[in-house]
Parts: sequence; C-alpha cells; structure tokens
Amino acid sequence: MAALNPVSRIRNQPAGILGGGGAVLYVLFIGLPVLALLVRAAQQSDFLDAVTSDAALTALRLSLITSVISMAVVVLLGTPFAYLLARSDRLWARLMDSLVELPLVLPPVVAGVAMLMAFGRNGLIGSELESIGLTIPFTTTAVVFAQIFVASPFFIRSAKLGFQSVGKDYEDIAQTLGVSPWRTFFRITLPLAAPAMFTGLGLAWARALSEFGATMMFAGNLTGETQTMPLAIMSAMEKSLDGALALSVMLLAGSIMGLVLLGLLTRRRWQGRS
Amino acid sequence: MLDSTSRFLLSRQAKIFLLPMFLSIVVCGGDGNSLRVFAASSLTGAFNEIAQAFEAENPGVKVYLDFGGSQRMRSQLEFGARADVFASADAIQMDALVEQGFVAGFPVDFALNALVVLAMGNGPVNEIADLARPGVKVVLANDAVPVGSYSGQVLENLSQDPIYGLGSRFKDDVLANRVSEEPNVDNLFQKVVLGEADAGIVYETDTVKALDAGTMNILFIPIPDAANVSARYPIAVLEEAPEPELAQQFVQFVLSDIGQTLLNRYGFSSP
Repeated sequence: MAALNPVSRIRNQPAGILGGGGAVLYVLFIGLPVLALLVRAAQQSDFLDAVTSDAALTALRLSLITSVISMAVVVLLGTPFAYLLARSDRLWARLMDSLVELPLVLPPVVAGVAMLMAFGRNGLIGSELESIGLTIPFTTTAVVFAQIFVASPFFIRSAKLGFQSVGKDYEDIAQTLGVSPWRTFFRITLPLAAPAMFTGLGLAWARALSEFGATMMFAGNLTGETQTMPLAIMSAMEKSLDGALALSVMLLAGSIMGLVLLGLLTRRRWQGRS
Repeated sequence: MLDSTSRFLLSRQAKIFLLPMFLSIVVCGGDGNSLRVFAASSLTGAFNEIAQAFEAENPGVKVYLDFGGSQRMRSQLEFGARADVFASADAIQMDALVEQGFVAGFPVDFALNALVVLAMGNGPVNEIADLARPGVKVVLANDAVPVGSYSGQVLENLSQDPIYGLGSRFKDDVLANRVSEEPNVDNLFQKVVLGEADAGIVYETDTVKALDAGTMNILFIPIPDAANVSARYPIAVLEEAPEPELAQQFVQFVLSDIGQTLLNRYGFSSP
C-alpha cells in the first residue's frame, strides 16, 4: 500500500529509483555523444558547404538508393519466407531459424570476406558468374548484397513473430467462411502482422544504412558507385574531422527522419485495430 | 585523460579509432616496462623483428605494436590515443603531428621505400601500360593514405615524360580503371592476391613480404627509377609518451646498425 508522501512513495518502489536512475544514465550516455556531434558540427563555418558538396550528396544518394532496393528485396522475399517459418513446425524450419540469425552474430567484415569467397571472381559460384560476364564485387550490386545480408535478419525475425502472434485461428475461421487463402492472407493475416513488420523494416533499414565492414570488404570504396555514407565518413575522417562531422550529421538526420516517418505510418494506419 | 574531442562517437567507425586508444590507456601504464609504438602497416614485418630484438636487448621491456594506415594512426593520436613512438610512411602525416605539438623534438628519417606495380598472375596486366587499358580493374589507396598519394605522384611522373611512351592521359586512364580506394596498403595487396582486382600499386617492400609468405600467382612489375618516388619514412618520440626515455632508446635502436639491417632485410633502404 503506497504511502501518501512522495519520499516514502519513491522509497517503496525500488523499480522507480533504479528505473529512473537507469533512464538518466542511459539518456546521458547516448544523448551526450549525439549532442556533442551536433554542437561541434554547428560550430563549423563551412558546415553548409560540406553538407552540399558533391561527395556528400553522392554518398547520400547512393546510401538511400541502395538501402531502398535492399529493403524492397528483403520485404518481397522475406515476407513469404517469414510466414512459412511462422506456420511450420518441422525440423527444417528450426534449422532455418538459426540460419536467419547467423548474419546477426557474424562480424560484418567476416560477412564481407565470406561473400567474396562465394561471389568473388574466384569464388565458389562467382567464377561461374564471371564466365558469363556477371561480376559482382566492386559494383553497386555488391553494396545491395552486403546490405541484404546483414539487415535481413531484423525484418525476417520480426515478421515471423508478427505472423506467429496472429495465429492460425483467424485464418481457419476465414477459410470456413469461404474466403480464399490468398484473400485471407492479404485482408486478415498481413494487416494484423503489419506493426511487427514495420518495426522489423525500420530496424533492417537502419542497419542497412549503417552497413560498413561488409561493404568495404566486398564492394570496395569508390565514389558514386560503392561509397555509401558510412564509407564516405571513414574516408573523410582520414583527411579531416570537419568533413566527417558534416557527413555524420547528415546520416544522423536522414536516419532519424526515416525512423520517425516509419513510426508515424505504423501508428496512423494501425491505431485502433486490436 | 581523454579530452572532449576524443569523446566523439561516430557509430561503427568509432571502434576503429577507439579500440587501440582504450588499449593504449589500459596497457601503457607508464611502469617503465612497456612501450607502445604506432607504425605504418608497411612496416609490419620489419618492426615485429625489431621489437623482438629490442626486447631481447632490454629484458623486462615489452613492446606493443599497432599497425595501420599512417593517416589512421595520425588521426588516432590526434584524438588522444597514447603512444610512445610513431613511425609514418610519409612526412605529411608526421608533419601534421609536429604542427599540432604532438611530437617531442624532431622526426628522423629512418627508412626509404619505393613503389612497384602488383598484378594478378596470368591476368590482363603484364606491363605498366596495361594499367590504362579499358576494362582492367585497378585498386589504389585513397590519396589521404601515404601509398595513395605516392601512387598519384608516380602516375603523374609516368604521364609527364614522353620517354615512357605512356601518353599524357595515362594517369587519367588508370584512375578511370580504379574500382576501389582502400584505406591501407595491406587491404590493397589482399584484393589483388585474392584475384578480385587485376592490379594495384604497392610498396617494393611488399615484394619481400610476398616472397616470405610464398604467395603464388602474382606478378611484380618494376617502375622506372626516374618515375618512382623515394618514400621517406620518419620516426619520432611523441610529446605525451608515457615512457619518453624508453621511446628514445627505441628510436635509436631503429636507427642503429641492427635496426637498419633488419629493415634492409625487409626491402627498405637506409636514408
């Protein structure tokens, strides 16, 4: 029974103190660096020039285009795959779960090396592709490959959980009422799983945008073709801090805007549906 | 300890810079027994041996070596990484540190290197002119990296003088064939060895490295002396060195006969 005065109320709720303390520490730990970044960037006299420079805009455009393509592939191929995983109890599905998790625990650079071993000019299937004229390393395609590799687990896991939470009951009812399986999926299952899918998409997109190690190793680093924002930041960092600051703020702003947009879309469309 | 500048976190990239920094703070305790040396990646083989020899001559001392693109090492030092000695692959990185007061005393040139073209064996590149052929994949380093800026100079030299028969557009054509800009010479080397790129421009000392490692199926194409650069490597004790005396001893060791012999064994010349 909570006492009336605030001091005893706080004292009687350990979660409150610890939770509050944790929150403050967390905000400081995450917030301070971000704030410092923004403050230092704002202090630069040529910030606007750096932000609108060719290299910066090229890298930004490349990052956005490749991440959108990657996400399109991940959603189109990942949704049915996640649905299958959600509905299946068989052994192969459990094995697939582990495979889906693998890119999450694999260091990105290792992922890049692995992709080189598979799709590189002397790679397992890369050598075959090479003989018919298809080269993947050092191309924008390689950037997309790298992003899909590292980001897909975020979407697939989330979508799978979403489909699992919908449960077969709704689908069964719909089918006893004569609704075709396709219609059931699109009108019932998908909308109910959508919030989880949107969350997964947001995480996957953020991961794809920030992808660095695998891209560096597999796609290389060339302005306009494979130099995404993170790679551009690294290259700028080796010349001068200022350029890197401007690019970092741009990427930060872009990511935040994207996530906010995604969040708004999710909330607006699905609010009210239980 | 760490000044506010060095608290900037730039997501994943921070790990590249901050990890050696944390290590240097944890390890380099100033107890008179450990030395931290930052060195250009092309010095890997030579400095590993030099460090061992130094430890043998100074029992109880442990030398910790950090290798990387010289420009990255410079950045780390600017951000507050603690080291005793810095050995750079070019004067540009060292001079930048001198200007900002990071160097104690004066840097000294301790080794000379030159460039050579590295090509995939049985590939499309068998002579220098092939670098400019359409469809050839060339990897170079970013021009902030020493080997990158040296490569630029060499390409420029080769384009300027008609005696090489390469034409004034040679440099532009080679740059057009560039498929990636690597952050240090080792990455560059690997891309060619793996067969992903047809050719790249590396250091002459990398020929020794390749021979030692028994790397097969690669080809080294020499660059005419007159067009080649003489890369001068400076070494210096750092202003904030936790072990300045030990650092000075190490620098002297590198400059001594033993140090120079070891460097020569790895393909470096003495200045």
